[in-house]
Amino acid sequence: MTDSETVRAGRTDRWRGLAGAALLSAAVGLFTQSSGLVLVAGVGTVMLAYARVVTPPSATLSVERSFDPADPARDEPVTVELAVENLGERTLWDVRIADGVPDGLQVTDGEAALGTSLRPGAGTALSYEVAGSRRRYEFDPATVVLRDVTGVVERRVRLSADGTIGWRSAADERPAITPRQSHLSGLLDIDEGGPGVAFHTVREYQARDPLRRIDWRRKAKTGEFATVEYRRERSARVVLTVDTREAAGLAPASGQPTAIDRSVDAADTLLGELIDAGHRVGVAALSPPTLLPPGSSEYHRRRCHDFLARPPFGSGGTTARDTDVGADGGGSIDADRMISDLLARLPGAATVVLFTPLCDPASATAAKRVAAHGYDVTVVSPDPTATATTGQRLARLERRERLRQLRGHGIAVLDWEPGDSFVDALSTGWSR
Amino acid sequence: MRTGRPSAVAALLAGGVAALLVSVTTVTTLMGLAAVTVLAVGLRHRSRSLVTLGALGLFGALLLSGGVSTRPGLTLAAGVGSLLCWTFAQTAVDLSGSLGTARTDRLERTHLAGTTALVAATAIVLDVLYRVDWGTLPPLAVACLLAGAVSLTIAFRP
Repeated sequence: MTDSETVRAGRTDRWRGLAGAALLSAAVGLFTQSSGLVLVAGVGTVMLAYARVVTPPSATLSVERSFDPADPARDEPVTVELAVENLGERTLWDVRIADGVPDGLQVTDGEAALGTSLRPGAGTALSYEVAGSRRRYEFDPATVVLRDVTGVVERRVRLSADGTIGWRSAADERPAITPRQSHLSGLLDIDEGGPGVAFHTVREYQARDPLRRIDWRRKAKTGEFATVEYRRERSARVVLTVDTREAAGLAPASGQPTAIDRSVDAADTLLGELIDAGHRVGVAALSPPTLLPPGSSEYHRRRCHDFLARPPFGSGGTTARDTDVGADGGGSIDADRMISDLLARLPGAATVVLFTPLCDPASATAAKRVAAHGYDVTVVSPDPTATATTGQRLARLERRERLRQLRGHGIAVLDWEPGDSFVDALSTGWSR
Repeated sequence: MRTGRPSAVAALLAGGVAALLVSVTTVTTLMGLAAVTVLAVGLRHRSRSLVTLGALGLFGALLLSGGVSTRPGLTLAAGVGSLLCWTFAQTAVDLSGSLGTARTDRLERTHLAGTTALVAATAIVLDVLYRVDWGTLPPLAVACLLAGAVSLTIAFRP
């Protein structure tokens, strides 16, 4: 039987006032010599006696909750089924069930409640559809009210049933931001021993090593103590770096979003998903060099979001320009200094996602220099080029050459075309 | 089916029958009709206050008719109808309030059948007891015996 907690057991107010009515009926009946009214009073009295004698039904119920599908994709509706069975030997005449739908989960079809009666051994199921977005929702116990057949007494219980459901986020459903899965796919495996789950190595026993990590098999064979090391797991540190230089404020045509606008939108999208996935995420700008160090709290998420909404990221930073050949990004000397500033601010052992249109040599140099300092670098490159003029066509060819060179250096590059959404680009833009 | 509809329909049926049985004078007829109308409005809007008002009106008509009626069986039947009408109407309002638009038809059918059986069986037993020739025993003594039996039942409740 399911764990149950009785919240209340007692009489309802169903027949409140019946005693007064019976008394009045008897009095009027006796006063007017009306046998009929005395009989009516008798019926009322017997009903009152019944209400006094009857006891609240026992909670002999078992409940089981299931989800279909159990691992829903983003925006996919989920059917929740709460199966209820009467395991007792008495009929439960009046069973009212309300499932413990957690806050934030929306019931889109059906009702998360049911009223029924159950014979011994009989069962029923409550089915409804929900929609949500978070990775984890924990259901509360179902509330069940059991009443006698007339509804004058009740027992209110809370029945526990396992219930956790979560939706996959967009990040789960598309390729990782870098083709090297280890960079951003959930927990980051690092080649370092310690506590964890995957075997890594065996080393000499040291005092204060936990007993559960001692290699007892080796002890039995050789008589020596040794300690098993597991592959240590930790979340990745990611710095979303937006190329906010004037050279990046490019758009295929006036009135269209610039590469900086698109980069900021994409960074904002990634920010939430990476934090949801348990990573520590920071935000940086190339010009002026700015860094919000990595963090993973809800407060940090809001702070990054606000940070991305302000200059140099947000409106007021750069005005759109058409792409054309010969853009140098305001001078390679300035660019060098910006990259040096960024490198000085970056935390150690981080993955750097650089959002840049790659329309000048300095942007490609930035990616290569950061990679040369030992960071995992992924370039997300919103393509701002057009093909209306010969100069624009040449700029496009130069940009493609930079993409090719970066890939040749082992840097993952996502080529994001103007008409595509960021999500679409993630599934098609790695090899373009 | 709307939650509480079977109970609401049953309440109106029971109330209608009770109103018909209490219509022995013009006043009780009008009172009965007014009570059922108020009850119907209360059930339409799932209002507990209006439902209670309607049931009270029906009970008032029952008291007035019982005082002048010479047929105890009809008064008893009207009383049963009033009681069922009141409890069914409360069920309709109650279910609608607690379970929204959830499926409750099975629960309601069980409640209607169970309550009707209990109240009707009680009324039949009392009517049979009333019809037995108790010799010189006055009706008040029968009532006292009944009250005593009920009190003992309550006192010896497990």
